[in-house]
Amino acid sequence: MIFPKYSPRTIIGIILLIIFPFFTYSHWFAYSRVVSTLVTKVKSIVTEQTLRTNENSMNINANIKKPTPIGDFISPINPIYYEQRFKHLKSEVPKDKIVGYMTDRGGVYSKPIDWWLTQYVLTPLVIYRDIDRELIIGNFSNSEIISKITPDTIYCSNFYPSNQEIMNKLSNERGLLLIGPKHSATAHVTQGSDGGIMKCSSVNNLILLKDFGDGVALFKRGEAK
Amino acid sequence: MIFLIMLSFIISIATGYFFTVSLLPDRQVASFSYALLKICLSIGVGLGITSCLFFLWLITFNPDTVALIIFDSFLLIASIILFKYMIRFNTNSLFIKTTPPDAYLKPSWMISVVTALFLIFLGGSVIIFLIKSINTPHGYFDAIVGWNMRARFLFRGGELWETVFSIFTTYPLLIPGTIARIWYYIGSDTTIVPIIVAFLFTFSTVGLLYSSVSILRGRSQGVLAGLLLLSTVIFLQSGMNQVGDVPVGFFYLATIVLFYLNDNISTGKKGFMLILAGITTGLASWTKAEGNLLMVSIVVASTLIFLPKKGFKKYIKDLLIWGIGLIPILAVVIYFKTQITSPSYITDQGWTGIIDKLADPTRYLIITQIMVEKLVAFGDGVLFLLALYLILMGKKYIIRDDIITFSIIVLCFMLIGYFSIYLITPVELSFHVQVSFKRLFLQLWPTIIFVSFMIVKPPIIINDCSVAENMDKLVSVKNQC
Repeated sequence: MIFPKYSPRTIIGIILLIIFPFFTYSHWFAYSRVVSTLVTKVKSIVTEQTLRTNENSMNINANIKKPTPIGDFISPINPIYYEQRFKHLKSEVPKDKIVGYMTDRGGVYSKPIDWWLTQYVLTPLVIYRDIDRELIIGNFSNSEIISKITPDTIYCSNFYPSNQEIMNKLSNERGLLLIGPKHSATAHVTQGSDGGIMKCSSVNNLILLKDFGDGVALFKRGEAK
Repeated sequence: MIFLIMLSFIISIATGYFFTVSLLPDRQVASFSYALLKICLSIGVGLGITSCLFFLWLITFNPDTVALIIFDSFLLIASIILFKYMIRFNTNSLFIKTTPPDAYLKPSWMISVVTALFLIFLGGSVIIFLIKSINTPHGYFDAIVGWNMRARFLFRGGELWETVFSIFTTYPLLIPGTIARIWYYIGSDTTIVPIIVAFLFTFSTVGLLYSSVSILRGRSQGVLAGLLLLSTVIFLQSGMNQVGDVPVGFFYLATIVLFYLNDNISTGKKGFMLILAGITTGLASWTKAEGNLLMVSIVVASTLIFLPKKGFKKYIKDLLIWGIGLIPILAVVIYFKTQITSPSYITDQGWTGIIDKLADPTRYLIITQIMVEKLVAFGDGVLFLLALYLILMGKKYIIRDDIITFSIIVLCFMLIGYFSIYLITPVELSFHVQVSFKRLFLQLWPTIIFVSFMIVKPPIIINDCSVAENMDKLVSVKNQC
């Protein structure tokens, strides 16, 4: 008898518990980016070593691809990327201020990830998702956008998740869309044909204080004309 | 810097250790499991109570860091004095009524395989945890927004630390407080600290589950329970992501484990462990808002189970002893909720909004449907595995113990509580349940595994009736002899 001491039910029960972690971990490894990155790294190291061996033996100058270190891939929603972009702006704004926020990233409509990450890296500065502040932080896809900002290109909107589609449509039509008041702050926005996206009445006099590069800028709001 | 990080953690954990050991009974036989249980509890309790003290420092002496060190030193000395005093006073001893001593479980290849597998997966989990943490040191997005950003506000904000609550909801401060406290010690907001905190809570939960099940049901069961928890990938992922569900799950588990251990004290005055259970219940509330449900569930479940059995006088006495541990931490939570933060978004909608939602039958249907979907998919179907294991291992479930019934009722009330919160949530319902229920259930998962292993029969050797003789409550085993 292979299992002399246990009942068949016990054996099945324990075997199930033994097999299960292999199943779950293999499933996880199939979709995990950490694991796939690690596997890629290991593979590239192995490949590199093989190529080196071949190179030595055959004396050929092979064009070897360097291994990708873990974490080389920086996602646009990676806080490390945000830390790098905003590091110079940090010292320019007093930390006891509440500042406004503008972006062309469109994230404020459904998932305000860009705003959260900006808030995270600039803590303890408090950033409101509106443009009714003396100082306004700009977080844009690229620096070229900053030169295109005029009162005609700045739009405000309430927080409607369904507006993402309209937002994309408008963005395609007009080339640039910036974001208005924060959630539930509807002071200067009225419902329009664009589904709540309107020109902001309070941004007529927006002064660029500094362009920090990589789409990061600091604006000052002057008196409305 | 490493020295200061270690020092700050050691102060917390040592404080927790002296508090924990003072209130736990001695075990007559030296046991690795019991020592591990003490260490795991010390980590959670220590980090928890020092974060409470850190909050008191924030509202009084911030930003005077010398005062923070004095606060911490005072608490450490107080815990040592308590420990010295309790050595003489706490004559309790732990005798586990239902567990076969490990010696009875004759070494078999199957137990060895499971133990080896558990250790391999444990080691693998530690490695994966470290790799993931190096890759994403700031944690998952929810951890960044929910905990690490608050910690940054508490640390970088200095005297302006309260500004954090102008943009955040009312989540309490155990995790951000723990992180910010250590940042104050080292004078820098390095990401190593939240990683270590997440690591400690994740693996303390595994350690606590293994050790408690080992103590109460034997080492083989402890290993299986630990393996099952490690098999639940979402648990490890949540730990690595630094979200708050693992720490709050730790405190749920610790509370239920302490109620079980209290039920197994053979000599001396019962109750010291109830004080510790009160502390861990309070710390669950101090970790996440859902922790308040544990407190309510314990009161309801104990009223249903212990009041009729023990009588009013004894029941109230036990409840008050539990309250000794709970009340100081609850006072901190209440002060925080009433004086520092704004009201919860749930109560913001007013009574009319709440009543309208409660009267809407479609909400019940939607919540039930999504909850069932999430439970089926949870942990790659681990609930089915657990159910199958329970069916295979024991014909008769041993739900004769009051403590087991109590813990099942606590878990049921927690689920009912989650359901009720969903009913009145002002957030879009399907979205809210879809994104949060899996994680809410994860908070309960270590406790569910623990309770399941209290119910299920251990995989003992059938023809060794001496084992069965020592397990007075395992009727089905005795019947086979």
